[in-house]
Amino acid sequence: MWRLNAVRHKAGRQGSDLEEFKFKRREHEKELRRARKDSQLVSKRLLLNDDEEEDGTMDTLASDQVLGPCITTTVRDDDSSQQPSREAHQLLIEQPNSIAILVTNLCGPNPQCRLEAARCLHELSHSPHSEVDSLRLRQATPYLITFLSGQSPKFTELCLYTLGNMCPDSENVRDMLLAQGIIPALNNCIQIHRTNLAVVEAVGFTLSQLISANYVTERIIPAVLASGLIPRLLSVLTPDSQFGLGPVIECAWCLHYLACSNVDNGALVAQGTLLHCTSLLVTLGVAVAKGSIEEGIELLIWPLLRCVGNLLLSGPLGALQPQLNDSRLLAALCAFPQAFLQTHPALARESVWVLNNLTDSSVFCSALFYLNLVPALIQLLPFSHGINIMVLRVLGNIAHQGREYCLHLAQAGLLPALCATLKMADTEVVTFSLEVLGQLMASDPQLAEEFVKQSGLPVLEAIQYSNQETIRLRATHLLEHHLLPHCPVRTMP
Amino acid sequence: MLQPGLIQLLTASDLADLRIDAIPKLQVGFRPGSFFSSFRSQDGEAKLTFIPQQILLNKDHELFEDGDIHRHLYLQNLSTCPAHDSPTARQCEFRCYISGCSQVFSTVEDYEHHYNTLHRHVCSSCQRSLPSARLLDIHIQEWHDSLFSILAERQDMVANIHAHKRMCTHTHYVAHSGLDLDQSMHTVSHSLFPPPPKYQCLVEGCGSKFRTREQRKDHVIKIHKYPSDFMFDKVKRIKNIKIAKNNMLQKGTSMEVSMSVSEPEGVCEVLSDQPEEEEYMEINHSLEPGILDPASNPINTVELSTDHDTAPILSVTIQPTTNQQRPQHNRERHSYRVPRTVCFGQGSVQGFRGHGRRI
Repeated sequence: MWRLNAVRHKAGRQGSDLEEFKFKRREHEKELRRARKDSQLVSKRLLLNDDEEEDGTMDTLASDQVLGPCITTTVRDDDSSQQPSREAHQLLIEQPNSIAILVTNLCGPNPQCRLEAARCLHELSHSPHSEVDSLRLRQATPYLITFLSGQSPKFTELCLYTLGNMCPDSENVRDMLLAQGIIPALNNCIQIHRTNLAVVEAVGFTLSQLISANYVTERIIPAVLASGLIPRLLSVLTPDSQFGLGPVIECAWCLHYLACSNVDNGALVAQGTLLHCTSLLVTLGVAVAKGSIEEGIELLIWPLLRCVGNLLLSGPLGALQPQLNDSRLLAALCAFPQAFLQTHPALARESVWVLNNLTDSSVFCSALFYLNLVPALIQLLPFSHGINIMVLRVLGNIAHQGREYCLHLAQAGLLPALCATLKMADTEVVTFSLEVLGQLMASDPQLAEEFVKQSGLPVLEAIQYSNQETIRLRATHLLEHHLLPHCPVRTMP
Repeated sequence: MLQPGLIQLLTASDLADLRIDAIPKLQVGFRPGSFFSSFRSQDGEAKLTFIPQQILLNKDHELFEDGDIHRHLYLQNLSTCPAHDSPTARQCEFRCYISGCSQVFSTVEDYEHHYNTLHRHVCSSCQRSLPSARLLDIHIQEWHDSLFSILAERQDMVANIHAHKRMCTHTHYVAHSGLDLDQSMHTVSHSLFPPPPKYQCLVEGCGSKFRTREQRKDHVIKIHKYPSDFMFDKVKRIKNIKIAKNNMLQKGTSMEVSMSVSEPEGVCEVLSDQPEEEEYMEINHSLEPGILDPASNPINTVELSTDHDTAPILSVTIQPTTNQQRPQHNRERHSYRVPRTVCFGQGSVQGFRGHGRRI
């Protein structure tokens, strides 16, 4: 992956450079989290020059004065932390007709000029400076969109990333792009350049920027669903071992944004989204089991999990079952938490969330027992970050299916695990534990006896003195209805 | 990292057996849901409310935050780094749920040690925690058994009569001077009272019993070699609680220390002299579930120990917890205290020994 390679080089620095890098990254992460809370989480991508191209173009550039400042900003090493100087971009923008001149070059006869003009526009689209905004660049967009159906991969890639950087800027910009036909153009582009994975990655990126912005559900997403892009995205979902995961990652994020918008998930499923995503998840699960965890694989697992998780609500599970027929999906969903618990606990949690959506059906609950996957889930109970709550939901779903399921859960060692979760600090964990325990004991008195043997009684009695009403009431209820005959009677002297 | 079973499952070559529709479905006799409807509380409200529920998460859901951040760090060229510090899974902490305690522990063992130390063997009347069931039994008998305390008082009276040989503290009958009350019919009438209670030796297996606390204390010191500053029967210094509570909240120190010995005398509404007071091995705690009185309300706990400054061997240093409220009935005892200035005879002990509850 070209992006990750660049970063790895940076990370190879020693000592204080690495610390500084980590510090900056932490700060940056905090900013991103703040931005997300404000629904302002937006990223732009800058396509870096290939080294050999850069040397070549320097000699053959036209000596147009307007292009001068643009050229200086393109000369940089692959350390993209260096921001282009404000003066350079401002200078360019403030020049009268500067964009018009760039556009002229963009459409002009000279291929190199075209390329350079496109690069200029691309850098302007990535500019963090507020004077350079998309509205100023809007003169160029109809041309950029038109060029998406062209044949030149490098040029097309630049146009794509430029448009992709402009998408999140405002609703007006998106409306304009929509009106100018960006969606059919993307469809065409991915068809023409389907063998060029760099362009496919760029299409995926641009589409993801378009549909992940705010306020897109009304027109943009229906347009995408109707456009015929979905099958093309799905056909990308087979990772190429040489090129890397980049294109697949972008397409997977597109599918996630489409599914979570919940505009027409039935259509998504009908076009085979669930089938392809689950197959890919199984493939990734197999890779994880074999120990070949490629760098950045979590960037791919994440959107696939989300897509599948949300698509499971698109219809009754029984109807979706043909698309979910590979039982290794369940194994993969149990393997991901084990593999990523320490590095990406949120991914572990989302994996269990998908299991929650699957275990609303007795078919999948039976399969979990048949494949002996329940102990792996029970082992996740000590962990916070919402993981244990999600696991308890899954266990509750299973217990709800009936008495035999409860007995199987007990055989898998759930009761001692519940004795521990009942003592946890998080009240929500205790509440769910009491609910699951209630289902177990209601299904068979044998399980109540077993719970008492596990010294569970004092634990419940202790909860009765909590100042949290939710757990107090439940604990009392369980004691009174299921455990009373088992309570030892203490006589006072 | 991955369990062998999982690895085997995922790397199995024979795909035919792995189809979901080939897996036999577990058959069920009945669904537990039908039980739930019958287990409603008297007011008709269902206490257990869980039902399976699929969850749809939209793009901006908080559960998706970490993944989104990771995605955007990648887009902005800041993602992977060999030693990056992303959030790792934390083991959940454990909390003591006894109301008013709310201490948190990182392991189950720590929590269980805390619970067994502070919340077991708790007296349901005064919320004191005792180190063992036997001491709890002794405590209950000596402090909360009304018959015992009445008999103890009577014994004190008899003892006083013997000591003063003049006035019966119970009936105020004054004997003629020189005449030993013992020899009078008056004393005979006292001897018709039930036999005095026995204070058991605190050491398990000894079995000795004594007429007075002092005798027991002497026995335990002499025979069982307990230190002389060992905490024996503790006087119920309930009023000190407020002061001590303030001390505790201010100093944040352990109970024994904050219960400054020098304070009680000034503060005490009651009044046996300090040196006469005997201390008990008690610890702060809250109610032990086993002898829970079902009629009593859930407790708010902790009672402050009024132990002396030297830490008793068997008591436990408690971390001060949050605000405690004294159970109401303890405050009521204040009114039964005898005022300091009452004197029962010359050279006598001022006030009553022991503090039985008058019921």
